[in-house]
Amino acid sequence: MFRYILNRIVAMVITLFIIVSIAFMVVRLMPGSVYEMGGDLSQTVIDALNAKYHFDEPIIKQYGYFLQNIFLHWDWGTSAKMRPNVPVFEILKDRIPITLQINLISLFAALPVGMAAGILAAIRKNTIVDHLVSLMVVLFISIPSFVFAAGLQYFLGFKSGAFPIIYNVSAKGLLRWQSMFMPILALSFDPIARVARYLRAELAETMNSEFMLLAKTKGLTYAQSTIRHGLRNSMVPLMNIIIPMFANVLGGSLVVESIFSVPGMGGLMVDSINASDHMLTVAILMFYSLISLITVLIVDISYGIVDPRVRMGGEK
Amino acid sequence: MRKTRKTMLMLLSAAMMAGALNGCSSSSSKPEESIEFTEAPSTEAPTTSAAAGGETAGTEDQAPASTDPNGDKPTDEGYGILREASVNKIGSLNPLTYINSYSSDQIKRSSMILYTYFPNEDYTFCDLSGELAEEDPIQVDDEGKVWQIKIRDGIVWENGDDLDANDVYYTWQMILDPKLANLRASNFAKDVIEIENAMNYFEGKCGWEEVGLKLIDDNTVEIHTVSGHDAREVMTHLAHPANCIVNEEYYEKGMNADRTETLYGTSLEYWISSGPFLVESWTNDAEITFKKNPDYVFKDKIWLAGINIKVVEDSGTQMQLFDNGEIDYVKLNAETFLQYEEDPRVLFSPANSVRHITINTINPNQPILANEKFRQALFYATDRETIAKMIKEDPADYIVPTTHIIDLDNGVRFRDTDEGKANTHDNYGYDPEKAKQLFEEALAEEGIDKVSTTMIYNDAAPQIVMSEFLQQSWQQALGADKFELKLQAMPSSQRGDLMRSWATKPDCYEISWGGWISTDLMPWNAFKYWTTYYSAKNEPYLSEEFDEVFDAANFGEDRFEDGVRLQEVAQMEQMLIEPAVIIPVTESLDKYLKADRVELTMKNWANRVEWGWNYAKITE
Repeated sequence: MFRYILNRIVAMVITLFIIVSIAFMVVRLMPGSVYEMGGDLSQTVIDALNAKYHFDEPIIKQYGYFLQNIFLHWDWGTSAKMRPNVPVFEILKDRIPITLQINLISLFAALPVGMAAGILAAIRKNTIVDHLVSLMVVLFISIPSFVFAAGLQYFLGFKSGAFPIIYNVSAKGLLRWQSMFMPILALSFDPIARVARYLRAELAETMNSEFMLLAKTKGLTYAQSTIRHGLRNSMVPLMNIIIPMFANVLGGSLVVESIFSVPGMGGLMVDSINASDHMLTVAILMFYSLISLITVLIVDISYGIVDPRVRMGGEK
Repeated sequence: MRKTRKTMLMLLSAAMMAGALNGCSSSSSKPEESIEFTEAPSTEAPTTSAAAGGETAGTEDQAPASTDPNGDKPTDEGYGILREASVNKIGSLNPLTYINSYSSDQIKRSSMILYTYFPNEDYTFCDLSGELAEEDPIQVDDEGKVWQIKIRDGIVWENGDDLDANDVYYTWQMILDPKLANLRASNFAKDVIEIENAMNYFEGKCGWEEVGLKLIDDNTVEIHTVSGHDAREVMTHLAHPANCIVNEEYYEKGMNADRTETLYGTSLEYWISSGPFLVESWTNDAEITFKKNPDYVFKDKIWLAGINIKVVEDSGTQMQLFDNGEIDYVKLNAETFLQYEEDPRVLFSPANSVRHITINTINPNQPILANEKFRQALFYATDRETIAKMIKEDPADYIVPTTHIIDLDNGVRFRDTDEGKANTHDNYGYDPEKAKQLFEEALAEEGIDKVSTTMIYNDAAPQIVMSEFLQQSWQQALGADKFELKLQAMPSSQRGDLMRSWATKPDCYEISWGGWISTDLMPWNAFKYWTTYYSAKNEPYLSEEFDEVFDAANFGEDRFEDGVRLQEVAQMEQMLIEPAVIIPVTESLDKYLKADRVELTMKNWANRVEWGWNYAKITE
């Protein structure tokens, strides 16, 4: 097991290195110079800044400096435009917690709701309850989270005044949580629908299996057979969609954060690309890649735990 | 296996919970102000009457002292919080490295500067005078190249430390430091005036002692310039935000070991205020709160207790916040302005900029763009009045905006002079027949029978509206069978980068949009964007003749003589308009919606201080 995990981690590190290298090349090859920004800057100053940060050198040499700084000093560079002179990871450090907080809470809040809806739809299959859950699933999946966000903001924030229109960064305690409610809710709809849809399908299939018939034949009640056998067997494959779902939710928060003025990772990548803040862009891309790779790693490991044949990797 | 699985699940759950809890970062808070609608200010725009009593609003008719919570004069603490929302982020409060003008506005709110623009005595115009400087610069030599500046006594930093000539001198040393290579070195070293050997030192070509910046004593600094100037030019140059004073202790505290970068101004830990307001709390990219500085030398001009600014990127959300009474003013875009067009709370703010069409005359794929008659055809085919109505701005067939003042002593605007009027055209230059004729002549000269060209534009209003209108109207005026305009939208920054790459990639663009915000009190300086040596030129206009006129207007020995600068400004404008190097279209106009709880002390929009939000009152 340890060797399997080690192999996966090594593969993850190599993948991350490749992604970061490609990201570095892509952002550096974008048209325009970091400091040619249309202001009253003299060419002398622009040249001095380009020389200071090696932007005037061939891209392969820039890449060499980039790797050298990372491997020798763990220095990922400083922001050039968004927050001049601030190390890029300091900027991410300020932004990541709130993004993770909102995304994780929305995911954890979505799980019980989605599971309840899925179970209800499965055990009431082909009834009005099932149809209503299916309608909800279709709506929640097909309508993007930012549409829900804008709607929630208008009706719950602006019209009813039940919640603050934007996230209140300076509030503390309950007020802070209150201002987080709408972004969390907006991000929850999609995972609720995915979990409900998946669980309904799994549970409905399990309920029709022969071992369920056997359980009932043995004298178990409908509720006992459903909870002890049906639900338990349907939950195992569900575990494998929950973790990757986090990466999906993280993507959805890009726009939702902007709508609710949440100072998270959401708009930072777009802003840094627009501002030609190359080092920051690379760091953000690395963050998103890392999150995705970690979710894949966790899924791989969990597969390995659930099914030992996976970690054998075909070995006899 | 079962045990391992359980352990892994527990670990995963613990990791996720830790991540969630980790997000609970703390931040300073600011008490909310309650909203009460009272009266609107007197402005150049239509005014509202008081909500109760029908009393006419205005600074001359202020409410009696007994009902005005501000009292007769500003207190040390001030009264009321002005609440703003901004799409921009501050990034850094370091005056030597700031990126955008929004940041520089906040830097000026919390920093001292040698000279700055205040409202004049009757709050109708701006007044350039000393903030940190005790008086106007003192001319030391006969040529106007050596100037001494006296620093006020008793100015202190937020922590009570003295702010004197040593701080000014340290700031100068830092801004030109070759290792730091500060972004704003060029704004400081050469703009309205050029400081002797400043850029040579920056480039490592000479020592600091050769630079024309001297510390005379604890209360006096001295400047040596390359050309002769008058006091006003020196003051104007030193009023640029890049000249805000930095604190040595905090600047050094944020300095890295190599002395190549400093964290000064990037967070509260590395920031200390000294200006009209003190930074009370700051969450980067989210919220900043200022409070009135009780030690500020001109504290009697400041009524507010503080200013709270939230970063709200979405304009729709900003409108909801305004309608909900959570912010005090909001900038209206073309769409939202339509809803509030008749609202008396709307304030109009000239943006000191003319939107123009810029043409890449050296594009090898479109040689007709170099044809003067073709460009003139586009000039005369542009229906400025219709475009202006569509985007709610003013039509402009000129380059120098109406706000620009050519004679400061008498307050004469360039556009009101005979020379300024001579550069304008009937019907704002819209003449489809003349356009068609010039177009036909251009086709004949180039030996072609059809033109198809591409305009790149920002993927946002108002450029979308303007570009789509031009696509139709130009084709209609010049003949759809002979002229085709293709449109290509792209993000603003990408478009800017692309346009400015014309020197290395001549085919980078064909036609696009431009617009420079210029110095409204020095229209002769506003033409620097078309000199050959400007670093971020949008179009390949390279004229030595133009440079000569520009240099004469800005640095020529006879520039102070009566009417000389007026003639030179008119000449520069003519040199750009006649051959249609650029095609002016509209004069930019910002629109704001202001809450009634805010009373502006400015009686009208004024150059440099604009609506004077810093000097506003909260009337509750």
